[in-house]
Amino acid sequence: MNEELVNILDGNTFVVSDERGDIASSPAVPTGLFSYDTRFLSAWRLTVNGEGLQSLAVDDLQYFEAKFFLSPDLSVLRPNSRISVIRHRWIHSKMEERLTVINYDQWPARLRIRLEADCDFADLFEVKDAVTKRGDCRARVEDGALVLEYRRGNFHRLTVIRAEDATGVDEHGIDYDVELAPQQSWVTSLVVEPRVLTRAGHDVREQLTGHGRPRAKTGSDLSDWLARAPRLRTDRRQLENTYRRSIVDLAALRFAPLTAPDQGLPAAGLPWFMSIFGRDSILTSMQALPFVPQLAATTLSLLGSLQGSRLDDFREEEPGKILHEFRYGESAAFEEQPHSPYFGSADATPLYIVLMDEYHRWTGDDHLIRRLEQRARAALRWIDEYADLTGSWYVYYHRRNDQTGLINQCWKDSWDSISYRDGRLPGPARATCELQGYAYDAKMRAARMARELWNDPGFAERLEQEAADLKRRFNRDFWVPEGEYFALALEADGSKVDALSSNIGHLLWSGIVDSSRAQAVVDHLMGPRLFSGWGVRTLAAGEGRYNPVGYHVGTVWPFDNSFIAWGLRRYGYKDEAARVAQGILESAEFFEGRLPEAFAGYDRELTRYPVQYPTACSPQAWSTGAPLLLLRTMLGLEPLGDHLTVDPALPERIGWLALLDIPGRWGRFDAFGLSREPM
Amino acid sequence: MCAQPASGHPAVDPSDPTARLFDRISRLGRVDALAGVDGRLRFDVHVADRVERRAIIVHGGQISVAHDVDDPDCVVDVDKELLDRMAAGQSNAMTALLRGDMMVSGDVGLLVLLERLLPGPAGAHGPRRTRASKGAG
Repeated sequence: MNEELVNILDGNTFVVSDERGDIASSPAVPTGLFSYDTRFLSAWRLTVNGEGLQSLAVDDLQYFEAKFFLSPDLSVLRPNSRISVIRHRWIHSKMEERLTVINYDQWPARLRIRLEADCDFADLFEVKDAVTKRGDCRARVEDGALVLEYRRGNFHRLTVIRAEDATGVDEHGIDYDVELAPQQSWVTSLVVEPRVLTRAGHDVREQLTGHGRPRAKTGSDLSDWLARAPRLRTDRRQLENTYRRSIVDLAALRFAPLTAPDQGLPAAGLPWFMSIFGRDSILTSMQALPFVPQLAATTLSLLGSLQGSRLDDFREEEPGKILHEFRYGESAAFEEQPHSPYFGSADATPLYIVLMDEYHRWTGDDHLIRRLEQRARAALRWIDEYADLTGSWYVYYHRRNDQTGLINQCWKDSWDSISYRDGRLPGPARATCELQGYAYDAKMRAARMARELWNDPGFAERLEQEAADLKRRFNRDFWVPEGEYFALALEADGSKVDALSSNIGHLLWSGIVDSSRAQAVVDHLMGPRLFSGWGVRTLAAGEGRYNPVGYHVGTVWPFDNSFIAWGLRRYGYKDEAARVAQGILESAEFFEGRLPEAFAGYDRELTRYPVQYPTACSPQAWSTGAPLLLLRTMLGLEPLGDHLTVDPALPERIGWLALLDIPGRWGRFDAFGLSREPM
Repeated sequence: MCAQPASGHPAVDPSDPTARLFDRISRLGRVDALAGVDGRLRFDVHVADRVERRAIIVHGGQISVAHDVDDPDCVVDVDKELLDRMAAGQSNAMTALLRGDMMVSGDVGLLVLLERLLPGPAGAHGPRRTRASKGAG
């Protein structure tokens, strides 16, 4: 069903409708108009003379607008309907719709056009369930507008529907009586406004600085965004298409949070994850650094301002911790869910420091990194004081919100993602291997910042010693000598959770792998149990829980692979990085340049095309960022002081590649790559 | 800006969590976590049918309190009862805002930054620690 749904959005206001533009939500196929994690329309149905319309075509012109070309029933009974309806919809915090009805007949037409509207004001977390609301829903007609309303205590949400030229408005919809002469057309407009009210009756957002300034996410904003990004030229035309798709989708995924309404950071995915996610926003900003570095600056500032400061068991907050997810809906407001914000993520905090350093290496923005010094120090203290649950100096997680918290607080956050080779699940305290890599990298990078920007060489030295010690112990404690790879995790007692997984690729990216062990790790990543031909599987074929269509236990994730490719380059495995890049970029061509969140782990030989994992979110931010990071790895782009170094290693099917106007501390720079094989 | 300094540290009513909170904030002086933050936050506190004002001023990492402040960057409109609960770690400021129990105008980012001065939930345990039997060292 998902293919037939049409999404348009602006920030976190979005509409999911069917291909007629109608909304008729059900738990199986949730649709609606959403804003601030609340549904503001659960029914929105256009009829002509009492009947629904048929879709002829949909033109989703931009991410914020769509046109639906419709006709009354084309059934055998009335094969010659000559009425056309065009429903043009766009979003700019409100939803607007312009209806055009054209009579192509030789005779006049009398039409009753009706828009039915209803709303259940479901929280985003409830849309897939049939939920009984705790508050009261009402509908009324006020000053010619249809007003749908929800109240629970002071929690007050309104949908205000204004229709010009309506013949009648009732509590369930809006009517128009239209008479059209032959060849005549009729046009009308509707505005649907979601309102988040305070107890004084104002919209919350109108009261906040920054919301008054409309963010023009219009055509000109998008063309500015595209113009500022580097230009890609290559003999592989599909790659240019994938690149352009990624840059446009990143624009769509920009999200202005309630707490900083005039800024934009990447949300995690469209439409259901249009919110701040620590891990997703950080990794996407990292992937996009050579292309749109301003995303990282916003991500660092915003996540820093929301950094944990207290102990809170419900939200799993601790001082210095970077948040996992922030939501504004009813379930968060009434503390039925912990997302206000929720901190159940053990990787966002070290990754925050990694992004800080990587951002500085690209942009030279000393000012921001000096301003964030205390944030970084608090994050480093969190790693040492709060993440070390066992006194072993490893980063562990063990949820303490047993009702609504996450069991796995790493990127593979489904319940069964961390297992032994034989499929057993470990105890609840887990130190996954990549977390140790991120902590190592965070300390090494913080040492550089301490020395060069914070004027604290003593701190830098201490961090480097701790990192070196962590690396030494890690290579001893996580190594599985029988298989020659790093265990997926340690249990609280130090037992090795010994499944072979893609996580070992992130270890290369972090640099925690002893160079004597890199070859063995690479052999596994590129070997038949992990590499499918399209990319590296999350879990190796043959492991107890391996399932080629299991969410984190056998599928291939483009984002995961982009960081693995970066890791392969870090250890000098250029050709292997190029093979991973080729697999993922070629799979993008099957999806018109828009990579899905994940695809099945079947062998490429077996299916010939990548089988998409069924998921409700597209585009997904870090899948959108994957082609960008893969371009960086193929060109071997690395900042070195005030210069950008280029060391290309292209896959065999790309003859040449040019990335022009790469922004950074060097101004703008062009990078070229030529295949080493003569074409 | 005309910030009237709170008059010294008069005896604080120990049964008034809000008074105790502001008293504690007035003694903080420099707060590293607020380095680089500048702003004036005013609370309009509803007590019965009166409105009492309280303000927090952050300038160059120094924090101080005042009875009132002109031209605040952010104004929080809140009942005394709710503010008491927040000051005692029994209510969360962000969810109070999302529920509509508290109103904010202006720069909500400043409230988010100053929220870290509020105590966390009373009785929070913090991370679940266990001793490693091996792997350390």
